[in-house]
Amino acid sequence: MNALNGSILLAVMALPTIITVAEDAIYAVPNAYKEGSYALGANRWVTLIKVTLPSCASGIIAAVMLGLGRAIGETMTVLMATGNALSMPNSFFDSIRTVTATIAIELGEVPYGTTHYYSLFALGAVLFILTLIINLIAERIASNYRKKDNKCQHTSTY
Amino acid sequence: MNKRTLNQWLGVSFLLICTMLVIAFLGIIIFDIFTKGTSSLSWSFISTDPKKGMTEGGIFPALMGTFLVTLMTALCAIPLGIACAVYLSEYAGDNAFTRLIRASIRNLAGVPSIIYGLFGVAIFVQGLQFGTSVLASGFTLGLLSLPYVITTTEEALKIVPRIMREGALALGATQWETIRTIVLPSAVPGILTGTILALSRAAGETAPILFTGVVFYQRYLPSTLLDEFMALPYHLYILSTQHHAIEQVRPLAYGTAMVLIGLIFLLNIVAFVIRSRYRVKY
Repeated sequence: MNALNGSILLAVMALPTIITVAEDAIYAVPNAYKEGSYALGANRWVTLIKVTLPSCASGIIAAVMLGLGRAIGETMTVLMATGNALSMPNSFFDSIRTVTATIAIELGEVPYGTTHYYSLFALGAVLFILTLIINLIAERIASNYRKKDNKCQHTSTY
Repeated sequence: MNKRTLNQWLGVSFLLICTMLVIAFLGIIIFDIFTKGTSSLSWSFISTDPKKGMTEGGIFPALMGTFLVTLMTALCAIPLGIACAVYLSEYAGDNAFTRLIRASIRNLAGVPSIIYGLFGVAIFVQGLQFGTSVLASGFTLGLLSLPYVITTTEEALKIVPRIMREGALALGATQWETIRTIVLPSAVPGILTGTILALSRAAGETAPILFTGVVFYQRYLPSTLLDEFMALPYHLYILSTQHHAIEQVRPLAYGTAMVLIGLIFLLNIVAFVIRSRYRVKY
């Protein structure tokens, strides 16, 4: 029951998002780039490192940002895995309580209309703005990238 | 073997190991749940009520609760989602307003589920006075799945070819008649697939229903939409972290997890079958 535990679980949960979006980005790299590289005598590994990945770097960054947004907003996993201690963590091995878990724990027992109630909504607002900024940045990066290559139409919202 | 070939070999092996690691996570999760859950799984586990403080018996009320709330979610999300998608794909012009709507919908999909829960409490439970109920939870989950329903419906409408629309319009049909009789029917499989996937996501969510209607234990099934209910994901959460005899109910928790995974998997299979069987080829 510590931060590391929750981090590993969130990492696993963010994997599908990162993999599918990044894969779309890599697919969208025009074949001509790779063929040009092969024609110059590069093998597949060199082509991947020097040509394919640099040309879709922004798409991969967008994928990572989207995965990050998912991880920040995840509630039940951290609620069950990080211990929820209300104290300042000093290391990865301390028990922590995230914003999402705080809302989940306290909203059930707080009386309607009190300061406590509204402060939970304030926490929600902070969380919302945080994920909104991350998503907007990811979207900006991905859309810049989409304009460059029209092939990348299928960047899904999942 | 020269240096370049060696580099390539090392690099590709590294990528392969990473991929295997990702697959291994899935394998470990499934293996863990199946080996520990099969012992408690039986027909009576699915069809009976929990007994003796949930240390024995089954998960029938939770299963029914999940079913009911998912139905409510569908009733809320499908009409709204399809209407919105039809507007966006058929009527809306390519202007700043439409782009704003699209951007909002995309960002709605990235909003954390607990925020939906908060919103549900403020609007449905307290604002509209639904109380903690199937109705409030269904609406909250409906909002959660709305962006997915809209995007997949829009995609399904987009692949209906222009020629079919133009043919209908040339025969004198109005735009609405064209959409109703030509475009929507041929997009139904795509819409259905997307909707089922969205609902399967909603059915597994815990955070949005946590404060809008789900309860720990209830002796009767919800008889009206304003009753509280039990749900599988919440039942699993209770059994695995909040129960007074956690070690004792662990097999039941694994059994519940298996049922939940099985349910979601079934929904995904249905969606997949619909997509592969009724995919229209133009």
